[in-house]
Amino acid sequence: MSYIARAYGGAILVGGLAPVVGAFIVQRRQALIGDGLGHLAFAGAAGAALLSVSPLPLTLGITVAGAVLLEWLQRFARARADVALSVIYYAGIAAGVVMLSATQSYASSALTLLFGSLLTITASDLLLIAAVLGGAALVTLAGYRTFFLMVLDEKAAAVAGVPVGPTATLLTALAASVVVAGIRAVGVLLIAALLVIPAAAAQRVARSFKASLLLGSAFGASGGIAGVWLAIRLDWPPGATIVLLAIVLYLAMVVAIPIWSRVGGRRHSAQ
Amino acid sequence: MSDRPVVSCDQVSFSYGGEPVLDGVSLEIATGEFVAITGPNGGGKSTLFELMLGLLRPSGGSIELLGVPPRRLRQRWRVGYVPQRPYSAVDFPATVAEVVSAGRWARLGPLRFPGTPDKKAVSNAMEMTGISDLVKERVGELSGGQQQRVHLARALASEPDLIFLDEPMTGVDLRARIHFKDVLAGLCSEHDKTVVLIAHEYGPLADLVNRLIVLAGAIKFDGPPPRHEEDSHHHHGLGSEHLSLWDESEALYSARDDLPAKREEP
Repeated sequence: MSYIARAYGGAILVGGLAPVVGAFIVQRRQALIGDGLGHLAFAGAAGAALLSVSPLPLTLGITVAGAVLLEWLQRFARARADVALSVIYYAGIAAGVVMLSATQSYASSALTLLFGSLLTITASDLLLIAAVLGGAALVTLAGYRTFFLMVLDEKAAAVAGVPVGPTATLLTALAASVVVAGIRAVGVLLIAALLVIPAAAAQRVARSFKASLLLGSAFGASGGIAGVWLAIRLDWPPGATIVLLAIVLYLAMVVAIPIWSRVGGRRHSAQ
Repeated sequence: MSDRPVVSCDQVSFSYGGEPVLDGVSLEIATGEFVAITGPNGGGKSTLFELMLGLLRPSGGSIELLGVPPRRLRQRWRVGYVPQRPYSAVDFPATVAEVVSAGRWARLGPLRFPGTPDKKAVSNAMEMTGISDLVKERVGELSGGQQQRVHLARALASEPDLIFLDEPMTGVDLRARIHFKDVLAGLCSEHDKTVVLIAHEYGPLADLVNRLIVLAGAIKFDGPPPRHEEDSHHHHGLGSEHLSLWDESEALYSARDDLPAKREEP
């Protein structure tokens, strides 16, 4: 498999599967959580570089543990959501910089972690991304009803028997897995965008939640393909190009849909 | 139908961070009753509601919901709950059908596919609440009154024995209130459901409420509500739907020593 095919494969996997988890994250008003978790993943990957061990287990472990800590801070220590997220965010970046500075290849390691490197992705990277993201998407779909009830109304969900605390923690842990799996492709700084933006764009137009899941995946995957194609032609960094395209798509949904419904409404009233 | 109360509170107390909110609350709610709980802000209405639903644990005393402590109730579908102002954001991408069907999931569990009785229950819930023509609409785009009926239909889709409504008349216009009252009237008369609600105002529900509980840290009154035909001279010509249930209860009862502090058993 050529490096270009692997880049397309990585972009499709991350773009197509991240919004499955992202759809619920967006509806829980946690759009920035991926950013905080991304910075924790940065610390995990820097720690792995320092210890010269395989990055995935350590990064995944630290990020999921951080996701559990985040929920604990909010639910049991009664910290405000923005304060809890800030604690996680800055802990990740500070610990990451300290550990990375102790390694010999500080600058190049930091750049790869921050912005990803889709064009240098290996076949084993691709397999790991597929396993972690596929697993996260499957768990999300298996728990679809539980997650849907929770995002619809937490109190009503609790009355219906949903264990809201553990469900919220599981969702945050799934977001952490997506972030870790996507870092190799688009980097710590941008992975959260692919978790949230295609899902948010889909939710502007889809009429049902199930349709929004499908459309979010379609937006993410097609943005990934178009982003890699454009990046190769323009010699732009692929991760950033994919995210820029996702943002253009989101803005198009924000601007185009109200105009479309106004025109449709005018036509309707003219009939 | 069993004579056992559907809700039973025995000397229930609750404190928030050492501050007592409820003290020595005892009551029983029987099948088919339409109970309104009212009282001043901070009087413990919402706390009692959450205790009865098992969302909070009492600091003292005991509660039974359908014969067991609320947190140990396995058949969660037997309890319907409509939260206060259950309005979905405009960007919430779910159809009315999806939201109402979700009410059935407490009965189906996380993975079991809905069968014909489940689909029929969902369709009956939509019919009862008059939202059958809205099935494909996005719930966040509906009016407040319509969304409220969607959430009532969601609560009814599991075919519960009792329904808890948290301030159902707040934030909806009079026409929506009257429509909502008609739906509840049908539920009580045709389906023998037990209804427990928190309310600041009777609104059009005045005719349906057959038991009023006034709560201000403890039960201040428990009995049939006042009838407006007899007391209308107190209200300077205002329609009863505009009266604050708490103010009215306070005016009618708190200054009168001869009224029972607790409901008299028949």
